Amino acid sequence: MSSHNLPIKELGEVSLVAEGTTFKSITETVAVVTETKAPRGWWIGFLIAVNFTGILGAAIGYLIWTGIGVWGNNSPVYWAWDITNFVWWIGIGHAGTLISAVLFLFRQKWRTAINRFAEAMTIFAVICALIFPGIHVGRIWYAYYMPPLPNSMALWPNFKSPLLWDVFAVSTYFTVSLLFWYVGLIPDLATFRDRAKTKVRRLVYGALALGWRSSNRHWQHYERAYLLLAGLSTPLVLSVHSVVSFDFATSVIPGWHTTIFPPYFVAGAIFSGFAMVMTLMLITRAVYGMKSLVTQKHLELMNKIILLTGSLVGYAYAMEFFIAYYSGNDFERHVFIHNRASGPFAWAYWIMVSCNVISPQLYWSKKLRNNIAVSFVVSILVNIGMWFERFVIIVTSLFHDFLPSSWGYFRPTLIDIFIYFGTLGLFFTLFLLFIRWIPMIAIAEVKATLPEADPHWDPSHASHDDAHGHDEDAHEEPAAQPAE
Amino acid sequence: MASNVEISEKNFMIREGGPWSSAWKVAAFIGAVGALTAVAGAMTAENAHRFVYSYIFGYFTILTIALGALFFVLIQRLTSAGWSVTVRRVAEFLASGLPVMAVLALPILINIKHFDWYETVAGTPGGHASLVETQAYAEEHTAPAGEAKPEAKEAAKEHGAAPEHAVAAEHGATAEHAGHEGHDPNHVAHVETLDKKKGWFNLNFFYGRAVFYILAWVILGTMFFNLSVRQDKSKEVGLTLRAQAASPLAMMAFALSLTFSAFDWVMALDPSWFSTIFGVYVFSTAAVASLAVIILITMSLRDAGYLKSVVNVEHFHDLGKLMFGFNVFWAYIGFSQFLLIWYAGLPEETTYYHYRWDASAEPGAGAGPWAGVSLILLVFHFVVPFFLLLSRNVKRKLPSLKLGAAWLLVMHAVDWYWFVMPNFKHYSFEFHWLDIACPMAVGGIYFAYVFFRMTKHALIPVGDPRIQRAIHFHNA
Repeated sequence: MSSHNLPIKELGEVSLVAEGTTFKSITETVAVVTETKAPRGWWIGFLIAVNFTGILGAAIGYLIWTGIGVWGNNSPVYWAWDITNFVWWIGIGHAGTLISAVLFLFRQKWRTAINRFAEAMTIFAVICALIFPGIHVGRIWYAYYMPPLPNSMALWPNFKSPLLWDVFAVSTYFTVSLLFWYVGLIPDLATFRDRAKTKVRRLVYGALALGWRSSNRHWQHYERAYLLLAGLSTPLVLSVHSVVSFDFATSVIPGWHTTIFPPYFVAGAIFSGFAMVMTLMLITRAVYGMKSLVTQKHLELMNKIILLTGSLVGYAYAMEFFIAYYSGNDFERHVFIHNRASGPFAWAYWIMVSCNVISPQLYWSKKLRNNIAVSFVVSILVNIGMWFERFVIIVTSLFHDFLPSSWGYFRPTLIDIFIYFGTLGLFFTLFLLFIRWIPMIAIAEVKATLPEADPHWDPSHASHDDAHGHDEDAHEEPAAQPAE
Repeated sequence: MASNVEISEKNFMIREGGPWSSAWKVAAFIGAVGALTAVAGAMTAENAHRFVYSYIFGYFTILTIALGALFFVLIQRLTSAGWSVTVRRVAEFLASGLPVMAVLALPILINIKHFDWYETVAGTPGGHASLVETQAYAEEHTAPAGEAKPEAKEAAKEHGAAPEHAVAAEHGATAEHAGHEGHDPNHVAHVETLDKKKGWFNLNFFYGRAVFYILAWVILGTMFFNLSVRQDKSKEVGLTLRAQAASPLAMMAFALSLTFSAFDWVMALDPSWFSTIFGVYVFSTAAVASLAVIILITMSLRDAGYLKSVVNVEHFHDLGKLMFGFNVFWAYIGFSQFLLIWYAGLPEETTYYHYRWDASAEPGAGAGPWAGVSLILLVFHFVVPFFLLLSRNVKRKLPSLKLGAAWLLVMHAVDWYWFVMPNFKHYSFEFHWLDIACPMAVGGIYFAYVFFRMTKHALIPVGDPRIQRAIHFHNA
């Protein structure tokens, strides 16, 4: 039976992992990263990232001490880099959830090589994102006003405000993503425990593995939990960025108020998330020799998703622009024609269009989709473009207020810049720690994509007992579960 | 599950004499009755205007099924899917009816003088007479209805000379203003707004766009069907590769033609209203309805004894999951549009929901007849099917899945009625016999063509290189 699932060469189908990959080599490739000394490159990257995190801490300390006037935000632009960064980071997180939940439900087995990575990225990106609303309240010691806590002052947040919905949406998202990530990690943490050579490793990974013994029962529970979490996370992929888009679209500000915002933000979020996964993956797989697990095929498929989501984003830009014209509303037209496509912020608008809509079009060519250098450059361009998208939406809708007497311009301050690049430092710090200590590729899931993981694989029906020991659990096919 | 039926063309053809061999005749009969009735309606002065609205309702109810099926085919090609090969042919049959839908667009195109924007932007004051006088509320305009119909333009030119009447006519469909036309400042603003859209509602441009949609549908519907059926005989792997290679650009043409045809032929029924999400909304209706039809036809073929060896509960489970998922997507898109318009409360946008809820234009008028339809959509298009189809068991039991699909198909028609008809006469709900005749005409003709083609080709792509994957597919 499994022969039907083998790649059909005439159709250009290839195996998901490189020739010669075995259960053993998968475990080795992934585990050895955490069991040997970190390469020099890791230390260099880590020191740089920690330095930037330090700058972040200092800049935030200064901001809390002085007040948010240290940012460039001023009349009429009261929202600027802070919210831009928040939306950008939340968006980056989306690819993780899409890969782990949506692609799982769609039985896209190639996701197994990148899902762990992307889920970790989700969690760290959401942490970076949450800094911004936290510090934007100004008096950070009142940040606890955001959740609706019963209090003796009878003060409640405004339940009709999308900003409050955001608090719920993002915190739910963070919780579910963390759970999902951890549940997926359990079998691999047990593998690490079983390989541990030192007592500390045995204890720590042992505790984290929650007593996993790879029994049939354990796998059944695991797969059920994984499926349920995938089902729960799928609406979250849509809801989180939809609610973020409501922060803008429920208003009456031309440029913010438009009905396509929810799906448009979701598409953009997945777009930027995939670009970030691509950037990180290209570096990591080269540094750690993961090319047998994350093959050229994976990169090509990710590039196809970048082309797809980039085109969806292009569709949304076109709809916005078209309807601004079609509405016949002077203010709408003014925002799009004079505040975005031309005018003082035209440079930002055209950076956005070039990076997000034009650069992914290179991927129509199979050759360019499979070119590492192009993939790297485009992934960076997309992340720049997606940052500018949020900047364009936020700032160009605000800087020309309704009265020309209230027109202004926005310039970031040094603190704006420090805090933004500081969050990049925090993100990479967390990410490098993750690579160092946690299985960065889902070992059990990748094994399940090997042909020999199919229970019917061996044509002679030979015994499954062999040198790979508990690795044989992979025949449970965790990646082949259906959606409810 | 696996079978010993040989995968060859002759084993998957519709047999002579069975219900499926004559299904097209039944559809053709329904289509003919519907078409004759609808044409009769269109020829009479008092119904000519109604005909256009009923026709657009019927047309889009069916068009979205055909376009949704095309989307299904394209997405399977785009993702090189294996599981769906044995159900893809049904979708291909449905999409192959797109050239018929292209022809059936003609009644809309030759009747564009019935669009509310027509006189304002066509550059003549004419045509409005047909608008105003054939309205159901024509009691306020005493001109004889007969004048409106044949050479509407000429008739109206003389008739529409009175300037205040001309202004009113441009807004003929807005019943709330009937009776005080020409005095209402809203009307002036409305005309000014329409004036700014002249570039878009330019007649040549309008027809030019229509040509693009029609060409796109004819080409895509034909091309993907032919690539697939040619493979039945030749078994040539290269045809699969060609279909896969063509699918990304085809998807773009699909998205643009669907979006802008919906803008031009549906959203423009209320020419001052706009919503950037409208194309996505229409797409969501297409995805749900086409999956429902694919499920129903595939089940019906199975009931008649076909496909039993190649389509099983696993495929229905997957189709059910997709239908369920896209129905949630439909609700998500519908809710997004509603929430954003309601929350912002801009009068130029809220009209859409006022027309679909209020009893009259008076502020605080309360819920009118359309409120009931709106609630029906909320409860029976989303809430009930959501809980019905959520369970794995329900999707894997064919009778309950069939119920879910049929249910959603009915709600699809209600949805399109709700999209189109409040534009005919705001705040009042009047069912008209043309609302039955037009969907019968369009649906009958379309399905007659589709069912006829089904008798001529194999019911599964027997030459597809991935067919064994679909036959042996199971949801673990």
